[in-house]
Amino acid sequence: MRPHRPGVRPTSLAVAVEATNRALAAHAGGIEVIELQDAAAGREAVVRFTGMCTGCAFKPMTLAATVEPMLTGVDGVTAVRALGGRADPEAMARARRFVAS
Amino acid sequence: MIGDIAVFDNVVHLHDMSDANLLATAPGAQRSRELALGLGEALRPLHGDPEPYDVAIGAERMGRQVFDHSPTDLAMAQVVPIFDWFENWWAPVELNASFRDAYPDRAFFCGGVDPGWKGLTAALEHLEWQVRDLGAVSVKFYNGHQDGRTWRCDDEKVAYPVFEKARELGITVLQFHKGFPFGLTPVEETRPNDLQRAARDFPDLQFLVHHLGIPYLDETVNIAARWPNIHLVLSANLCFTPIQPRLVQTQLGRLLFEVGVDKLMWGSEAGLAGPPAPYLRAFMDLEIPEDLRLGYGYPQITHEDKRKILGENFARLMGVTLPTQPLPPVVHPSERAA
Repeated sequence: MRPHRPGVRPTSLAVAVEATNRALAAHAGGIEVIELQDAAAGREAVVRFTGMCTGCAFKPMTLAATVEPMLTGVDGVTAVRALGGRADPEAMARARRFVAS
Repeated sequence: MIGDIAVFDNVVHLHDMSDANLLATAPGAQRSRELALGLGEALRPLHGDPEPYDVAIGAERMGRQVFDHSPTDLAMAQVVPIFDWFENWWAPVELNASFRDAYPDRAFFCGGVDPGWKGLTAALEHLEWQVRDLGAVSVKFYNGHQDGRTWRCDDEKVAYPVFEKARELGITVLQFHKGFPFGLTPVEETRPNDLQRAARDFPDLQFLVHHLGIPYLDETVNIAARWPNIHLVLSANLCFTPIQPRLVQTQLGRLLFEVGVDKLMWGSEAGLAGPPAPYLRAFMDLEIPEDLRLGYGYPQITHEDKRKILGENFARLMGVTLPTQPLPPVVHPSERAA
């Protein structure tokens, strides 16, 4: 049986994306949400970096420190994944611990 | 195939480094051929292929290298329009087209032109001939030359008309030799930086950069990460895996981290690099070691990553359907004649 996953209110997600992009605008970068996919406990937001973020090697840190906290603050969004390059899961976990500390 | 992975080799070259094709009195010709032949000899112990390199590599020799002695499903023969040292260019047009003719179900033909050879008009006519009459489905460019004959890929008067002609002929995948200077060509003539404006101005065309632009790796990675229509062919780069695995692990880890796996493609350089089998074996065994993952945050390379690199990414750009089952052995031209 397909597990129940809470829905994501588009308005809430749009507000979170707008807030994220205001923060990333300081570096002339941004994100756009490509789609929402089913994830273990909810929905995974698949995002694409835009602007100056696209070629920045700090994308994983931006993902962990800014994008993930803001988008997972939306009810139903439990994970965020960025298209393009990816970091080692342990490195991402380390970045999250660093942000949380 | 390798297990469930279909292999689409982006680049093989049917070179002609014979005495007959060499412009022996051209500046640097002898030395450039010696360097190329030396590279072939250096790789020979890895694959053991005994055939000489200072000859024209025929279609059947290439077919045996890639289809008999290696698990390659599909392969693209690419022209090398280096006219500086070779009368009929380094990898001649009709010789490379003959590979596709010999194996029409398994091979593709990538043409090549150079507006610095006999001018822009000749390049446009040559391109039209290669596409319409010889069936080229992609075009390769080598804009770096010696003695001031280099042209820039973002030159609106020299390069853009060629790109526009390719588009008019239905070609959407343009390929560029970057880095790895031949012979005594000044290395700076091979920088990838001139692809940025071109990729911006032709957003409907796909720009494939070969060799990671080495020694301009930093620029190449940055450019490929930022332009959605710039991709990287790991041509010859993965051939270093058996010799310098640490080098390849470091480069590949960085590419997965910064550029993303969807833009990476396998190219064997068969011909001069010999049968691709040993490089493919080494690549399938390759892992990103723990210290690179922990120290640089590079991700582990997965089976799905290898599937994309070895075939899926290039097939997607070319609109080619990959086989899902092992293909039957090829029938070589000499066997057909018999």
